[in-house]
Amino acid sequence: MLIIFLRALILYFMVIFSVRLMGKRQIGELQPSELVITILVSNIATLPIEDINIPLATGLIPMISLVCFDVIMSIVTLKFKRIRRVVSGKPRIVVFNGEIDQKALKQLRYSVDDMMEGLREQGVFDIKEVQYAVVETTGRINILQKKDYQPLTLDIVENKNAASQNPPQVIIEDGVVSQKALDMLGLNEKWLNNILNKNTVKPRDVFFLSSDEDKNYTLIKKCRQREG
Amino acid sequence: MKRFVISVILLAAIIFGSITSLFVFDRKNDEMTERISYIQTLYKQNKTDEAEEKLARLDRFWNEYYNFMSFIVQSTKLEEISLSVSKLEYLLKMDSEEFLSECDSIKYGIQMIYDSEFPYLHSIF
Repeated sequence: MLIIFLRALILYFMVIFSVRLMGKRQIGELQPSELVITILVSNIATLPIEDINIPLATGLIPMISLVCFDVIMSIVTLKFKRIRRVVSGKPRIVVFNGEIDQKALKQLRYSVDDMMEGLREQGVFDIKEVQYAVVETTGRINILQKKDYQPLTLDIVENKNAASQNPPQVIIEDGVVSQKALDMLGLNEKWLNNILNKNTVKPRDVFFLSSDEDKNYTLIKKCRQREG
Repeated sequence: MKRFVISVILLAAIIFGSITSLFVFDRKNDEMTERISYIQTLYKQNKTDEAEEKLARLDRFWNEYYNFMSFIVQSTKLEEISLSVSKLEYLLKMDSEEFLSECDSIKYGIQMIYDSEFPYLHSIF
């Protein structure tokens, strides 16, 4: 009994360490790979606790290895967008301007009920109110309501003539320019160069740049300080 | 970045530890096999007293070896060999015919354990 107790204690601390090493994320926001790792870690941890014939190392080594692979993979996916797409997938637009993208819904294996449930969770009961509904890589549905249905704010009152209904697009992410986003917004490289010149930065120095169709942009420069 | 460094260090430690343990495993296995073979030779030459002395040393060596292996090998596999090692003294005293076959079974058993730990292609898949 004491052996099992001590093993459980050691594994408890190892699981805590593993989860801490994986980083802070809420359960509902786990990426697919992280969810798999979390389930595997909990499963691996139970085996050496239950069976004292199994060496503790047989449980600890795969557990630590999996978490380390996950951390390394998350760093790699942070650096390489293409790998991130393969590992985590990409957000899909399922509703645009009140119309359901049936093909996207089928590909995601989402039923209309699933989608409507997602919309209701966001307080929307009529699909006509939706400008954009996006299924995130975590499986969560996020929506942008049409301006006519959004709660009235000072910003809306002040910009009541603004034509843009669509959400801003990310044009530069970690120094990488998205031509697709520029095309979607009907903007061009000339406009982008103007913005960059105005802020005296080069694309590689930009961490985040987003803009909407009205050319209202947000620019965040890269932080030179090393991460802790 | 800190997490990345910790992960790389941990993985390196696991890989280093695994490879080192295999080398130690192999060396200890060879030593154990040599000791048993020598005892078998002594037995065949009817040098029972010397064989008994070597057997006592083998028993101590096995205990040490057992402690090392218990970190990586399932204890059920090791218990079978432990049982065979503990039988040897009695079989030697009784001058039993089973003594040599028991020695061989120990040699076979430790080789089997080593093979099960070595990353052959068939054991990975």
